[in-house]
Amino acid sequence: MNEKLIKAYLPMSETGFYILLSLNEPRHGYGIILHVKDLTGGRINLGAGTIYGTLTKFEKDSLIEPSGEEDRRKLYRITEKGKWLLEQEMRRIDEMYVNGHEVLGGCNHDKDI
Amino acid sequence: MIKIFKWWWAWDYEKIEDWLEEMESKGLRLVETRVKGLYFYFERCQPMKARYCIDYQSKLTPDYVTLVKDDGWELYQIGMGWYILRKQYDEERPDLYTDFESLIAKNKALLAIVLAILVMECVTFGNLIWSTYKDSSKVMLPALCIGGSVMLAFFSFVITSLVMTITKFRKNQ
Repeated sequence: MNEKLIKAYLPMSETGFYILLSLNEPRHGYGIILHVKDLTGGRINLGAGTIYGTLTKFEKDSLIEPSGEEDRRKLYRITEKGKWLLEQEMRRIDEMYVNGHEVLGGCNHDKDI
Repeated sequence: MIKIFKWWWAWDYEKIEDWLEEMESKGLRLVETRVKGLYFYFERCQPMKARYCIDYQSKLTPDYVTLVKDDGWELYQIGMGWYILRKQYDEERPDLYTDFESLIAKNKALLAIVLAILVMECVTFGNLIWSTYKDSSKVMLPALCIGGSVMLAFFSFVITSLVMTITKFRKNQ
C-alpha cells in the first residue's frame, strides 16, 4: 500500500504502537494516557508532551483523523491507512514471536498458548 | 516573594528543571518568571516533591494546553515559545516526554531555531563587516572580525552540543 509509510514507521516504537491502537475507538489525548496505562497494567505511562507530538505527526501522515469533540477536547480515531500500518507491525511482531519460541522454547510455547 | 536571577541556555534546560525541583524541595515554589525566564520569582511553601519541565512550542494550541492540564501540569509562560510546566508527585517522577523519538524531535526543533538565528547573525555581521570595509578608516574592522569569530565559535559550540544530545538519544533508542 505505501512503501514510504513502512520505511518511516516500522519497526514502530511501543509508544507509537499503543497510541495508534488506542484510537480504534475515538479518544482524546488524556484518554489515551489512561487507556494505555490500563492496557499495560501501569507499565507504560505516556507523557503529555509525547502524546501531543505523536498525535500531530500521525494526523499529518493521515494515520489518524479528528472525530468530533468531547468536553471541548479534540477526539481522534484511526484511519484505514493507520489500521493497515498497525497490521503490518503486528505481522512483524508475530513473526518475531514465532521465531523466538521456535528457537528458545517450543515446548513452553505449546503448553502456554 | 523571593527574586533570583539565573542565567541559562536553552539546550541546558535540564539544569533549570533540576534546580527548580530542588528549590521546591527546600520550600520555595515558582510563581512566575520575568525577562524571558532570567528572573525567577518564588514564594514560600511546604517542602514538596514537584517535577518541573521546560518545553518549547512554536504555537501554543488549545489542544496542547488542555492535554497537559488534564495530565496534571501547571503551565508557566516564559516567552518566545518557551514554557515551564510543574507537576506534583509522590513516588514516580513524571515526565513530559517519555520516549526517545519525541526527545529527538524536541532537540531537532531547538537545532532548527539555533540554525535560523545563526543565518540571521551571519547576514547582519557580514553586512556590518562589508560596510566597515568599504569605509575609508577601517578602524572598526579588527574588532568586528574578532567579534564575528567569537560569535561563530559560540554557535559551533551550541550546535555541537545539540547534535551530541540528539546522537545520545538515537543511540539509546
